[in-house]
Amino acid sequence: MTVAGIIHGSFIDYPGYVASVVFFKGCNFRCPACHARSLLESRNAIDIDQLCALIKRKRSWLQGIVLCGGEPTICNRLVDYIHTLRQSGLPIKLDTNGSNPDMLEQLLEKNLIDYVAMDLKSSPPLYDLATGVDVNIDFIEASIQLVQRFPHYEFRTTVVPIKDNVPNAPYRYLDQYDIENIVNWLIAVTGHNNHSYYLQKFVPRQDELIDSTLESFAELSKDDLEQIYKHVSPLLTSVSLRY
Amino acid sequence: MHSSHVLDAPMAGAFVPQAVKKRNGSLAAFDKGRIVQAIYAALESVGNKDKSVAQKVADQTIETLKLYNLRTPDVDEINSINVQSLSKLGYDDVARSYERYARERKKIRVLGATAGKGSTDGFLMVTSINEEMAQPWSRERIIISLVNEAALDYPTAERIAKEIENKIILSSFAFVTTQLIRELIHTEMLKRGLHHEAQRYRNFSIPFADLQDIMLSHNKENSNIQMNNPEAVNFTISGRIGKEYALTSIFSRTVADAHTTGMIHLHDLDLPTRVYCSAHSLEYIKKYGLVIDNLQTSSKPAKHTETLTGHLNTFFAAMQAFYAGALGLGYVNIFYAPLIMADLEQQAQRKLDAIIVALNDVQNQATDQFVADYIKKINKQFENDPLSLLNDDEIDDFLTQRGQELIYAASQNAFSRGGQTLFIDFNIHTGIPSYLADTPSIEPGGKYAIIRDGKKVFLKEERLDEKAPSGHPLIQLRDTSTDRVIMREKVTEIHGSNQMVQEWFLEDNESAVTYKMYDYIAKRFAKNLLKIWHKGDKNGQPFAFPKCDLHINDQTFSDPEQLELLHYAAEVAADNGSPYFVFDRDEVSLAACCRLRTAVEDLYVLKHPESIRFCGFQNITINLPQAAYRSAQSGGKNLDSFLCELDNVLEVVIDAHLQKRAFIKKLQNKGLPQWLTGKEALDGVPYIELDKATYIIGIIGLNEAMSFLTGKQLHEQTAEEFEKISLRVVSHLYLRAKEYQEKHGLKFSLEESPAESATRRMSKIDSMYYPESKQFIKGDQLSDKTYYTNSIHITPDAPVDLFHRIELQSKFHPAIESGAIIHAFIGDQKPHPDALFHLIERTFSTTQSAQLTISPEFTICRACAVVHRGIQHSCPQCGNTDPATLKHMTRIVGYYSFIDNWNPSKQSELDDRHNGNYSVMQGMDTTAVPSLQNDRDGLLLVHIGKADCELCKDISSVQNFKKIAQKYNTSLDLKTYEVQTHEGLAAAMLGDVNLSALPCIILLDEQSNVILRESTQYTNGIPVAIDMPQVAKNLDNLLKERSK
Repeated sequence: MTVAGIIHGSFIDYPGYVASVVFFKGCNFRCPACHARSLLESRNAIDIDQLCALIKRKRSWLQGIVLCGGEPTICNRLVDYIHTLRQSGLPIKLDTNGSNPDMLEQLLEKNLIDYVAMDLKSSPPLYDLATGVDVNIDFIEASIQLVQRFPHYEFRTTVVPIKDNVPNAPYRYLDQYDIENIVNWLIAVTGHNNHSYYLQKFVPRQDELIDSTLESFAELSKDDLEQIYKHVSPLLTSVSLRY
Repeated sequence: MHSSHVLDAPMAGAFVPQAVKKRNGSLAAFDKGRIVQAIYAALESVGNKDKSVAQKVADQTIETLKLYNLRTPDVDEINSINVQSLSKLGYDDVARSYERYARERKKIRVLGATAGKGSTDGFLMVTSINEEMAQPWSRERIIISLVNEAALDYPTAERIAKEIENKIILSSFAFVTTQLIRELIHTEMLKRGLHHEAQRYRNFSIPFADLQDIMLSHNKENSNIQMNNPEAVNFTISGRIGKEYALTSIFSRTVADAHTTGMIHLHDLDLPTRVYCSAHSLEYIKKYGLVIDNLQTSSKPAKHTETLTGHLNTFFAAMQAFYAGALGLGYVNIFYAPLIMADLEQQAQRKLDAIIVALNDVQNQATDQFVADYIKKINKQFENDPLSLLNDDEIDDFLTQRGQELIYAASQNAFSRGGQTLFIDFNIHTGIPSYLADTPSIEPGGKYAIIRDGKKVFLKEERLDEKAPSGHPLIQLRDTSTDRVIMREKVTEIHGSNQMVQEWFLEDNESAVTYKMYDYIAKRFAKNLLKIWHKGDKNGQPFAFPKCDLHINDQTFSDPEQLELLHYAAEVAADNGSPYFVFDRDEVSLAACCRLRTAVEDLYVLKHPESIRFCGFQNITINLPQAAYRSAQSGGKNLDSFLCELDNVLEVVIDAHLQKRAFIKKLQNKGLPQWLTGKEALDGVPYIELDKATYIIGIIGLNEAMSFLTGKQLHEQTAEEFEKISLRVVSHLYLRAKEYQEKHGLKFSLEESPAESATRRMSKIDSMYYPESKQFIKGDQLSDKTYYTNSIHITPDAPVDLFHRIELQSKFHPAIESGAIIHAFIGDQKPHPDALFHLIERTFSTTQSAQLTISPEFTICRACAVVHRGIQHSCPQCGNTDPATLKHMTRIVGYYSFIDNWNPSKQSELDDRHNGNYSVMQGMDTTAVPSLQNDRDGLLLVHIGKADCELCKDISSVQNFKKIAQKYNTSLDLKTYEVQTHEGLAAAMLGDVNLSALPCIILLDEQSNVILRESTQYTNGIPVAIDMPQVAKNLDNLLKERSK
């Protein structure tokens, strides 16, 4: 089993809904600013029956289930799990890094997911650095295409510190031009600008980051974030900030 | 050496003197013992305690007296000879001391006799701090005060006074204070075993070091005191004295000991002459104007919104003097509405006038008819609906302005109780509750009114001789223009009890002006008030006060306008947590302020909201863990022994309430501090009626008590442990409190204590005297930051989710009638408003939770005037780290305050809240929340009722239910409970049953799922029984569905 834990009563992970959040173990990315390190190494394991029992118990409070991680789409039994979870009658949201378009396609065909949120980590040239692994951009682009066919979807970028592709480059925050590149890439891949796109603030959490040197990295100010937002918001139909 | 001339001519003789001439000229029998005593006193003063020496010296003196043949020596002569004898026998130092003493005594006598007649040089001056003057020494004054104050008999008083005089003189002070003298007298009385009398003569004082500390350091007793200030200094000093007075003089020794040993906590001891908390009515001020004795002037009832706010602020500031705690205000948006409406109508009138003036200006031949028609039309429009002349912005601008005046003033009234912000609750309703809809409203100027032919007619109120069962005088309303009585009140029997009813004599063209007319304005004002709470202060900081107690009832969900308000309130809660969602599940329970939930049994106040006021008399909290440790020592570690110990504690609590009550009753006499609340108020009954007040019994640390007794904390208990132990404890206390209620005719109610200093004090005391407590006390024990988990709450760092917390804690709420609240501590999360709305709706409809509030954490940077979410140690905007301008804020107990004002124990609790919040990744909540169980093979119908209720007795329809079940090949068993029994109450609590909507039936399937639930509904205080035939139909459908 690849589920490490569950949080009941999230008010933020499924927009507008009170949701249970199911955390999958393991990830094929190693984003330095990711604060789910403990999940990648977690020894917790919950089987699907336990999971369903937990959700059933909270059923009257819940409006949705969020699958996140780690990376849920690398779990090869994901389809089975979702089938089981759907018996609760709750809508299901998937958070993905978009590295597994095959899985997304299956989920789409079987109509298993109500809402997909896909991370756009950076523009293609910086993707490997932003994710800490070699990424096949074709897969990401294929996922982008698929994601927009789900009933509800969003693309999102957490404005994190990254390193440029030069030796000994220091960390710096993604800036308005990086974000502009991401947005333009999105438009180029999909051929239109009618997307919901969220900019999320990076909040360093102690003891949880993949690159622990980032724990003391200064937070981006509200003004800086708003500056980025202003810069890119004309490019798409809907851009929003998440603090 | 100075000696008397009589001794210069010795004469031989052999007579022992028979008498002594006293200073006042009288003769007393010669007594060697007194000489011995005097000499011994002198010996003692140089540290010689050999009584035989005194004897020896006295013998020598008598020899001398014989030698000189002094048959009746005077006191001075004896003294001189005593000095000689001492010297002769080689006790020169003692002789010097004796002589000095005799000299001083003589001086005092001489000077004392001439007191006030000449220069004060050389006097032994006594400084009285209280009278701010120095007076010459007077032994007589001491005697008089001992006789008067300590009720000593004259001779004892005289002896003590003399002894004190000796001490003072021997210690050769140049001047002494009355305080020092009293201290010495007190000690002397104790030495003589006069304990009772000593009690009455004790000093209440403060050590210098403490005083210094009070003036020069930060007060953390109450986190609502924002900063030290001269008022806070005075408050703390007077509080110290007040506390001491209360513990020695208001309460018995047993009660005082119970407090000081941490068995109980007597809240607000520092304000002994006040009662605890209160709720007031705007209608009282609106109807009678501002008339309070200690104000030099009085005001007529307000005619305008702003005037009312002015009255209200003065009223609060003045009334706070009588209460130690919160001031609640009910139905704010509703009761403001008539004045708002009048002001808006005036504004519309002015607009109409301006339009007509402008139109008249442009009038000319060509437009004459058109303009005339238009003027006619607009006049008509004004007559029909004056507000239709105003646009939305004009109305909202007005409401925002008036709302800001109201909220800002209430939030900034920080002058009494040591410069604390007044603890104010504003109760806001999403609509007009049905029980107020037809209540005659109090109009501008304090009048009632009717509408006649579309026009408002104000009525004259006349008091009748007859009184309502509540003691309020009945009234009638007269239209003076026609001299017709429009409404007359009378007492009549309704459902077996006498109730006041209003009889209206209206013509067809007339209707009463009641609150339902103000539905629109009340809702719109509520929205604008919420907007102000949403915005926060100038920096965006949430208002800690006035608290926004938003009342939610069934109508909130069925009326789309009210629903929209609730959606907006959820948005406000998501952004800054301001609203407290107060759940009114049946119509007649009025949540009066943050602390009290009261069911209205007397319908008078529903027709006379000016008389809706409540008083939480006093708050006493029981230390549950300590009771558990104590019970284990005496009767073993088991539930019975614990409950038995709780009975003992409860008895002390009740005694304490009665003792304070007797004291306040005394203070309500004419001329005494609570006279204002004790005399007849403007509505014909005392402002505080001690017989109708609520006597609050708080509880703390159920979690730790359970942990000690069962080895499991609340959230770790099985369903059975929870029902049989935890719920049992609370139901036991509840039922016992009700027994005392019966016995004393006073309302005793359980409370979730707002423990700030109580939690610290109790855990600290227990860690000293109950070593077994160390394992259970929360917080950091090494750094003195200990606490007990509040009331019946799950411990802050329990790894359970919010739903679990809400479900579990709300099971206690039916038995907790004061201060029941569930906090959703969400740290730095910013929840989505729609998700919060869902949480609120679910909490209202699936639990018995009394109140829910969302508590985020904030960092407020005053340097750059920005509010950030979460606790940040430097401002993310400007980098500011200065604690003077970088403030952290969240709810400490029931209100927002700055974390640096919290006592160390509460700060430690905050750390644990974080562990609870953020540890969800590791800790998975696998235990189910306990619920009613079905142990039968088939269906189980649980019937929960009351012993003395007619509706509850009727279980005839159950036979019918059984037949229906048989139709579908299943059995149906019945289990009946009465909530006056422990089992019944625990079952009701476990089953989330509303105790004021009984009977309630719950049908459980074989897996203990609730498949059907019905309870009695109330309309305007009158019960409407469950529609059993309908339930039978539903049951049939349900089973039909199931059998498929």
